[in-house]
Amino acid sequence: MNHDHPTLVSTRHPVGGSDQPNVQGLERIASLVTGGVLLGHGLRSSGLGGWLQVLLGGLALARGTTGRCPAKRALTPTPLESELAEENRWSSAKTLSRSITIDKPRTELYRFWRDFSNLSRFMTFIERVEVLASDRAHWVARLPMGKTLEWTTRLTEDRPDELLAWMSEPDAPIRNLGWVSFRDAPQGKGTEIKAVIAYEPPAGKLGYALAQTLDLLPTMKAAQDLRRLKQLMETGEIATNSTRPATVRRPVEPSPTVFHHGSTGVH
Amino acid sequence: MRALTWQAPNRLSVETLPDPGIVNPKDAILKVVMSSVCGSDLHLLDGYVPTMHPGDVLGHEFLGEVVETGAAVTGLKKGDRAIAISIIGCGECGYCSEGHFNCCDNSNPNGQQTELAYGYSCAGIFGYSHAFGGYAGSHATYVRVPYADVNLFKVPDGVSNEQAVFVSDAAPTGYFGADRADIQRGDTVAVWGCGGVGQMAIRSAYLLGAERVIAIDRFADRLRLAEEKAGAIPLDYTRTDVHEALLELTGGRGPDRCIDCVGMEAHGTGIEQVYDKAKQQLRLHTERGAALRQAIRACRKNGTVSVLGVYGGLLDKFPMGAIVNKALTLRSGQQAGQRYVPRLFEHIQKGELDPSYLLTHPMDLEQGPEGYHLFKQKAQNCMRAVFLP
Ligand SMILES: NC(=O)c1ccc[n+]([C@@H]2O[C@H](COP(=O)([O-])OP(=O)(O)OC[C@H]3O[C@@H](n4cnc5c(N)ncnc54)[C@H](O)[C@@H]3O)[C@@H](O)[C@H]2O)c1
Ligand SMILES: [Zn+2]
Ligand SMILES: [Zn+2]
Repeated sequence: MNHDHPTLVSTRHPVGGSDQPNVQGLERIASLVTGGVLLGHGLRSSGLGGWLQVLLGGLALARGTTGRCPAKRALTPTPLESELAEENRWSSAKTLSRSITIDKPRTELYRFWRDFSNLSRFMTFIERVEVLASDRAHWVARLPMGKTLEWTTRLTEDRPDELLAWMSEPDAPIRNLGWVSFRDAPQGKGTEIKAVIAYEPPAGKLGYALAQTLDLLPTMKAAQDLRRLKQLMETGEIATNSTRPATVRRPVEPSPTVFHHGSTGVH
Repeated sequence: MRALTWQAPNRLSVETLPDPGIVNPKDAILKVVMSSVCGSDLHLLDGYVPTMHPGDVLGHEFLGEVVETGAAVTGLKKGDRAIAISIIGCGECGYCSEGHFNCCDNSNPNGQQTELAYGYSCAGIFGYSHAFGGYAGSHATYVRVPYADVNLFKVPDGVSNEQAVFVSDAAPTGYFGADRADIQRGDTVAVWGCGGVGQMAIRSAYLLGAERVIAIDRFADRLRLAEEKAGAIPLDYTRTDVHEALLELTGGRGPDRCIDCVGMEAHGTGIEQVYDKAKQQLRLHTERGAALRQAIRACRKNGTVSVLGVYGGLLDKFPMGAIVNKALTLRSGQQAGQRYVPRLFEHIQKGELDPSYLLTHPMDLEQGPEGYHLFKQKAQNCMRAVFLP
């Protein structure tokens, strides 16, 4: 696989895709009909329910007449996600990515990441990663209510000081892959790290929509985890506001979403 | 230990909490000797800074005695008398390495909240809401100071506690603002707000080469101190048209540098105040910007506006046109005091700066809620209430 994808993770739409009609055929006709019915009914009903029907009817009519639906567009896979799904023969792919600059040499950061058991030191949802062999690792992720999710990955690419890529083994509960690249920051300002995680939302397209609506959280979690890595590498400690030394292990976060795998599908 | 806590907007209480301990190797524990109120706390008190939780300990301007140090602390030992800088730096990230401790990448354990609001995670601050790290503040018997070698400074001989405590926040803030204003020899500087921060900004402007400093406020005692202690020309904005007065005092050129030491709860006059206050209360915008708007309008062409007053979110009716068409430079920030402490102590030792007059109300920690009440109402000429736990 090509991990130096020219496609940015943050590119949401294909070229010219953001303004193209995306509602066609029967779907468009259905929108027009539903819109008309709702609008007509809403106008004849009173109270809040009536207003709501008018509003929804209007939106559906607009969707039908213009052939454009922003909501649907937001739920469409990005170009990179389409590429990844095709390459890996997944029903769909969901990606998460963040970049961070860490004021340490590339080698040091690469080596730290290369020992996958280090990952649980900064990834909040990862309970532990056991290194099984130099190219295989077993991941244990925390889920709410004391449950865990486990899978094994194998290294698919290892370019010292540049790139590490891994992929879950076929029996993973949620198929996933990831890669992290290391690049010199300009003017000797450390190393630019870009981490990408992709997974196959379990229920295909529907799972994608669900994962998408919960997207903000895991993306922020990913950013937070990378910040923790930066804190650890630069200062030797992870920032905390606690005023007492921890007596218990980090609590399981109540969030239903997970950075390193799609727990969104594990309900 | 005892600590002054935030419970709800405008409701404070003194509670008993567990003593803090060393959590990370670079931590130190300080036994607090003096801990001051600050105008920034008023924004928390009034509920304009979100992410305060009931029980959060307030206070970020403090002096104390080191009672415990973590394994990685090298520059401090038990018994040292030290002040802390209120904005926490890690000392290692790219920003800290260049002296921009106020932009530290690493000191905020809750970076996601400021990232969401401002685009990037911002530095942690003592006792200043969970968005800024959720660190317990200093209005307490003890306080945990992270990255102690970076954020704690031993107080040199010849500098009293009353002087040193303000080198934690008010003095470096004023100095930072004057420094950021890019003052040139001979400049006229106008300072809005004569609280602790404004007083220190006036003095710093002179130290950095200003010829004249004009101070704007409405409280007679504060204007008097600005004149007597800091050497400013006082202007009472409730009695005088500020814009016209500034022209009158500068031969029609206007001030070269303007420094906002007021912030988001500016007091305004007339219709502007009614409009701003109503919108702020409806949470349609978070700021009342009367002082900043006036500063931007008053600043001469090609001048600099330096904003020390704290703003949290979105300011309405922001005079962007004046900035563009007068070619203004806008500077701002939370203070990067770590950069200035040695210089400030030196000024104090030489008698060129004496912040001790800001301490108008020494009080017991148990009187915390009362201290904030006095400070908020500016009653009994309260400039800063300082708790002695
Ligand atoms: N940037 C930083 O690092 C930093 C540090 C400390 C404080 N601050 C901020 O600085 C500001 C001042 O702090 P302080 O401790 O001096 O507070 P303070 O409440 O003691 O003083 C504020 C002063 O502003 C005056 N004022 C109000 N409206 C005015 C107007 N329209 N024109 C002129 N003056 C007006 C008030 O009368 C008062 O005297 C606050 O916003 C605070 O949050 C910033
Ligand atoms: Zn302050
Ligand atoms: Zn830093």
